Amino acid sequence: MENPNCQQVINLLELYINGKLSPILANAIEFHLNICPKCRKKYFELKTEINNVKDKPKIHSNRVERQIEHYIQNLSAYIDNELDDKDNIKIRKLSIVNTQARQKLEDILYFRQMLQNSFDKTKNNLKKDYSEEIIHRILNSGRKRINSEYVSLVISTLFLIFWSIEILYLYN
Amino acid sequence: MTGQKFQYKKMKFEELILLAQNDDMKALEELIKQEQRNVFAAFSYLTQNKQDISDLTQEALLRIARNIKTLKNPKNFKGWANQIITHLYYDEIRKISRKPNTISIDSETEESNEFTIKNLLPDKRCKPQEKCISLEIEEIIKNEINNLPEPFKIVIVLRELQGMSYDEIANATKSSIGTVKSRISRARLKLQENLKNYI
Repeated sequence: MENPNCQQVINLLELYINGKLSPILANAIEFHLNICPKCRKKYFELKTEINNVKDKPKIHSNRVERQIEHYIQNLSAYIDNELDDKDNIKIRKLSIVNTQARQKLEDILYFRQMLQNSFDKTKNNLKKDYSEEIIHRILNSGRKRINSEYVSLVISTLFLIFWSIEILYLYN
Repeated sequence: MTGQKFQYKKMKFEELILLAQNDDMKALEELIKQEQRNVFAAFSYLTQNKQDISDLTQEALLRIARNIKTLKNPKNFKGWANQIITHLYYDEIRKISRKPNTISIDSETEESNEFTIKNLLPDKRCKPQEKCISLEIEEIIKNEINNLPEPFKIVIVLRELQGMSYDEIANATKSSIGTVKSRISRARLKLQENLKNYI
């Protein structure tokens, strides 16, 4: 099978993910995944599904596992520097002595970096400049306010003049 | 004129705020220029519709510009601006929940979700190289954050994108620091889980 089609690739995906294909076939699948976005999407979906089944949480019973659980709960606040001194020390200590914990710390730091890079990229994707439009709207609303204040001043002055004329007329 | 613009560009952000608070429109314009990317990025991760992102960005910037005089301490600008973003976002959720579900025929979401050749190519504008992530990954991250349930989405954007402290996020979202801490942690775990094949 030199060039497998999409259907064949999808049928073989599970074996490919579990590493049960011959190297030649695995290479052919890999080549196809590199050029076919639809199959690659299917591949990621299936891989996530398989990983989820493999990684189902086990019952944490011993002390180290409880420590790891506490570690995971507080790791997020730790990298944000939002923990109190006592918990900070606990996290730091476990990061040094436990490889699993250290891996989790490295993973979350890498993940945070990935989000930061994504955010930076999005910021640079802004095509429109809003500044002139905003200033224009503010100046316009300011003018309208001044105009309406001016109109009400004129109306009240006119009213006052009429009222004075009427008073004068009555007295005369 | 060019010289004047150049000077405003070189000013510190806090100086721009002080000038803008004293009716210097050029300073206010420069302040908006510098802040608009932040606001746009925040709404890009909070809502998916391009028109909504643009409308919300514009409205938030307008509120920032109109109310700049009410900001007491220029050092608190970030927290203050993010409160405006958060309030607008909550208003938008309330509006959406009242609206019946409609599908726009001009919707571009399907196209943007597709793995197009353009999305797969590395972005040449992006430097330095190590910070470069493809448009494909950026889109995937955006979708994953957008798909988070409401209380988790806003806290992760305020923390990771805007760099706000837990205390500031608690103020903006009207919740306790404990709740903020737990929501950020759960949002990160969920995102890490969903994105683990790309890490």
